[in-house]
Amino acid sequence: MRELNKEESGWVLALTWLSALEEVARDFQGTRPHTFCQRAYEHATQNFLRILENNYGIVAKRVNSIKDAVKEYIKIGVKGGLFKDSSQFELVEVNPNRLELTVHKCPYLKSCEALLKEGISLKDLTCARIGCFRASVLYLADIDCNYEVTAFAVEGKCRGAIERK
Amino acid sequence: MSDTTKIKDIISEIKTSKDWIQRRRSIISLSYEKGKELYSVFTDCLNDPIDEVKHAAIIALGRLGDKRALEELLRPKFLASPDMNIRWATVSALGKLGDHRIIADLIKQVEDEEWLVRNEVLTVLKEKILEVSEQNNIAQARILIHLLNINDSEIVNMAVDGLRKMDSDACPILMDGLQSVWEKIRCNSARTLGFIGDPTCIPHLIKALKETSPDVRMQSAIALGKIGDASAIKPLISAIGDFSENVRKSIINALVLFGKQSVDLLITELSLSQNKIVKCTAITALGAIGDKRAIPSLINHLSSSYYIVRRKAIRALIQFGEEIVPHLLNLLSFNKSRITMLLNEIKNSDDVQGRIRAIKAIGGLEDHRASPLLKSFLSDPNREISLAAQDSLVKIGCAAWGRSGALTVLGEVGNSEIVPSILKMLEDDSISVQIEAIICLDKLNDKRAIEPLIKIMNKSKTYRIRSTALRVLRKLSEGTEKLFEATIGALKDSSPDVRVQAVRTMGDFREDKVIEPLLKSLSDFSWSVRYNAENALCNQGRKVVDKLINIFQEGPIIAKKRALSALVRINDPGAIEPIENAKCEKNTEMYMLIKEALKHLHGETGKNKKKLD
Repeated sequence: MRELNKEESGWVLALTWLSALEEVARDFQGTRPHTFCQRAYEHATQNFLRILENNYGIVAKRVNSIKDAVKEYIKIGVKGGLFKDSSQFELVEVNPNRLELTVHKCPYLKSCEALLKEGISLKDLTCARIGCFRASVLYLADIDCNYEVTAFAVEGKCRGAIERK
Repeated sequence: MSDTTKIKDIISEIKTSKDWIQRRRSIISLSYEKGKELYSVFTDCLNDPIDEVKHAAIIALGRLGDKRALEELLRPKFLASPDMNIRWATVSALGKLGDHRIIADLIKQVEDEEWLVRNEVLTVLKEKILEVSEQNNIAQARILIHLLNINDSEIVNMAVDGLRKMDSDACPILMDGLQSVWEKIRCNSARTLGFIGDPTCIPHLIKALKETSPDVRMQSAIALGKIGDASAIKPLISAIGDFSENVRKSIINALVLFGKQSVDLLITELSLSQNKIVKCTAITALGAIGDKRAIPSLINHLSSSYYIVRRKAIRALIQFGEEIVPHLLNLLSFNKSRITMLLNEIKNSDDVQGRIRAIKAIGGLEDHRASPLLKSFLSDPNREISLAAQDSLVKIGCAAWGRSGALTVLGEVGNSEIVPSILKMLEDDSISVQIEAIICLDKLNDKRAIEPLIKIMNKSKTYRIRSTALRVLRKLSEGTEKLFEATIGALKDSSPDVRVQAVRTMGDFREDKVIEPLLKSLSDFSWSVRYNAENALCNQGRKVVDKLINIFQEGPIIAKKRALSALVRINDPGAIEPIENAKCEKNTEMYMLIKEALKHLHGETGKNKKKLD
């Protein structure tokens, strides 16, 4: 029987807690757990950035636009080991109020796939990845946004949008 | 010269020639001859220092067909030779010379690094398995068991077929196979036992349900289902909490094969277990079996506090079709009695125990109206009160999930007769229930829902309810005056979601009256509203071009962009001139958009391009 290395066990732990949190959201909020998860991603993102800043000296810049905030978050995420590299993401600024994102090979794909199978609609997918991007915009640019998934695993890519409220 | 003399000359050449090519050629030419004396000539050549000569000798021995060569060829130096040609020729020769007993020797060669050798091994093995199958000799069953471990599905299936033919005689060996150290042998033994269907092996298969390997557990469950002996039902139900989804699916399929026999035990397990996985599997099985006795239990689980349990219960109930409708209609009731006294008791009573009793009573009534008050008690300094409030809120919430789930099922299986009952649910105090009732009305597609939906859209404080109601209205009353009036109001809604629905709905109208409101929506602060308004205006075609040009020339910048985009999409040549004449600073975003728009308009209308710069 093999043993997990530290990176793997870290991911197992993260995925375990994330799916537990999303499951609780559905237990209490049914097919519309957006509000619950959105708040949870806000806490998670702020904690992540705070811990990186306080414990590891990796400081995220405060910015003024949705796109810059997501770009900064990706940069910090790569440094903090959350993302492999920035090529996993494509960002298109439709206008200063709306950013469309493409995520390649998302590690949370399976959990979203299970949800779609369980009858949750695409619009109601909470998507931890884009949800945390939205939270990073709130934290780094102080812009409160809505977000939604617009396409799931089309040729291995998920798409979503973040839009100013 | 006679043939005998010629053969003698070739033999002499083989023995004396110093040229290995000549020796090899001679062996090959001799390999088509028959005669006992040739055996020793060829076996001597197996010791030739040159591999090519050995290779020829092995081929020759195969062609000669003398079974004495088996012993020579089974030596590791040939089967494990570094030369791929020697290994290939040895396998081929063994295939020609040996009977089923060589199977055991050839199994190791299945993993050969060269695909040509592997391929030859598989070809030989298939021939030998066929021989064994045709002989149907139980003494050879163990050989077939070894083949169950091979990574080739065709061979494994042939071995399984061979064992099946042996019927119950093969069971003791297959039961031993369940104890094998090799996972594949255990797995395929279980599978074969299922095909044979001998009840004597049931205890062994039941034991295998607790195996470490999920594949073995899965095959054991499938086998138990196929055998169909009722003694397997209880152990199968005990295993429905398996961590592997595939195992659970196999258990469900097995229980479905048992049909009504397993219903009572499944219902008991469902009511006793607190494990959500057990509950989900039992519910799925009960839904697939479709026995009426399961209906009350399944309906109870619509109010589970676990989302996945509720979903499974919904799916299971849908499988019952229309017959479930009367049962679910009973669930569509909510407390309407006066609860003021109880609420006052909770709020104002000095007696702590009295307040707790009142909180519990409200929870027992599952009355959603008490939720706001109960939520305020969650942080009460008295722990007993806060816990009682929490419990009651869970009860009220779960009851609402039950009504909401019932509506989901009714939306799938109901008909227009149930519309009045569903309309009542628009008065429910739970937002989830109201939304689910609206969705249910959408599925039932009945015009009687139009008025109540307009009412709830105008009255509700929850934007989700307003936007869902408008979405359904768009479908139910397309193009009516009532819908137009409701939509005009919705365009001023505080929620962008509702406004998006409103402009989409406007897009369905072809009358001029929608143009002005839609043009206004091009200046909405929400991008989604503006974008959808643009789409809706495009539906109106060329008659909106002048107005769009007006907005492009005089409107606010956000509306200008959308107007420009709409003009490009409508593709009217009349838009080119005003766009070309637009005053715009170079290298601004607007300048780039205009440039891009003109490129499209010129390209598609064929007009000469006027240079902007």
